[in-house]
Amino acid sequence: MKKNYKIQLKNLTLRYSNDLVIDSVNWDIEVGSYNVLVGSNGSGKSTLIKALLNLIEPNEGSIKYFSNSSEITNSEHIAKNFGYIPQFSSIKKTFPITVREIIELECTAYEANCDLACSIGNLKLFHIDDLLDKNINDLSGGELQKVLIVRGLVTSPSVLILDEPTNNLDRDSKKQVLEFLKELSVEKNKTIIHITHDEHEVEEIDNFNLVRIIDKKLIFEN
Amino acid sequence: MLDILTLQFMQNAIVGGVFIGILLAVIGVFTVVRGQSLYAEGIAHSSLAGVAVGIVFFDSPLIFAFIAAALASFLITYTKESSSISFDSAIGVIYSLFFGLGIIILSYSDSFRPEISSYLFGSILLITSQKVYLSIATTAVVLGFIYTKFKSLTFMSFDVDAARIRGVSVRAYNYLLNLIAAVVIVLGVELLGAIMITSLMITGPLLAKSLAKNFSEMFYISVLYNIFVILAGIFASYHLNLPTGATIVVISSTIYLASFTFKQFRG
Repeated sequence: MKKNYKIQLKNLTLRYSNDLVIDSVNWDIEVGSYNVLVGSNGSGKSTLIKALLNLIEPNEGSIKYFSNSSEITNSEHIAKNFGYIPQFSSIKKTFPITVREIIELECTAYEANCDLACSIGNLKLFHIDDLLDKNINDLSGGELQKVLIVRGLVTSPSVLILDEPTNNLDRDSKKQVLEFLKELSVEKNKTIIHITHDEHEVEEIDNFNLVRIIDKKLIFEN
Repeated sequence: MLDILTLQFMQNAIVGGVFIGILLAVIGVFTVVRGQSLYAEGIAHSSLAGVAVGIVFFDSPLIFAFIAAALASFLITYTKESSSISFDSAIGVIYSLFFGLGIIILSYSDSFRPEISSYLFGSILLITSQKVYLSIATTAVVLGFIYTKFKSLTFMSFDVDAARIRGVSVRAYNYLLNLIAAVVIVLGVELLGAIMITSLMITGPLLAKSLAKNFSEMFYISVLYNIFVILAGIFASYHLNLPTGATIVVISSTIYLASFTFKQFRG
């Protein structure tokens, strides 16, 4: 059964190569909430989500995960319950691999958690199901971006973290993706953490928690 | 032309060369897609420290070459994993240290040893039956490991952060894959020498990367490419009386550059 997650950041401090990036911040991320994290390039957004995904350890403070008020301490919970859509620029686009393969790779460690049929459905929803056996090198930037979103959802995660998910999308595709994400949050009670540097993108989303990173601190706006 | 196949040393060179070529192709695919093309160069040069210890103190260079390569592999991986420096920088720091130590140790030797020439330029025609068996056994072990862990190794090569998040033991696989690559590289140095080993490790995979439709295809193309250039190099060098390792490398690089140029002109 999927867990409904609450995430709690307490006095969290993060450094990158001894430089202070995030300075003693607190943040309660509620179940099913849609959170937009905005900050300029280099403000620490990516470092913060790496900490949320347990890719880096906090230098000070803590990140706690709760399911139905009970703290989760096992090391597998992120692999089973989090979905991550990385920045488009971090993907090796010349890697010889098909769309089907990169989706199936997500199921490497915990195969039982994967729902490949759901992924096919999502590919159809984005009108890219005919690309399943294509090499990613043959895809446009927008097509690959949508594939990355589908890949992040293959484990039906409770929490979805998206790093600049609309960067390569045209206007219509961007609108479609934002509506899709909103639906995941409202109808499927998934917690969304959507990272962007684009202030205009914020205007296109409604009913969300806006969190800005300014001077290594988090500023909350409704 | 086929009369050379009756010669024992030629049989050893062909069988040993083909198996080491398969190993270099398979490991080379991972080094190329992970952006670690200089790794072969670094490990090959690092193994000089072991070769030197083996020659000067024990008269048995191969086993000490393996030890030095394994140690260098561990230090390179550890330096990369525990700091923010790049993989290439870690290679540069570690291999300089090992190469320098090798030169210092060799200075204790009274005379020039032929093993040094063999280390630098390879000696495929001098491969013994024992080393042929060693290369066959190593191929079986390495291919077995890659077959059973293929998905995890592919995942971490394609997207290391996603692999970590999804529970793949990236750190352990990094150490293991780099250690296996170090063993393969030392075997390859026997074939081509430290100076030319990188060629067979990266030209096949680079060509395969541009042709393959999926990751598995990249392995098949790289392996076939290495087998072809090794056999072509052995036969050509025998008939033209040329150094074998250098002939293999020249054929390999020429095919790659020709295909690259062809693709550029074709657009």
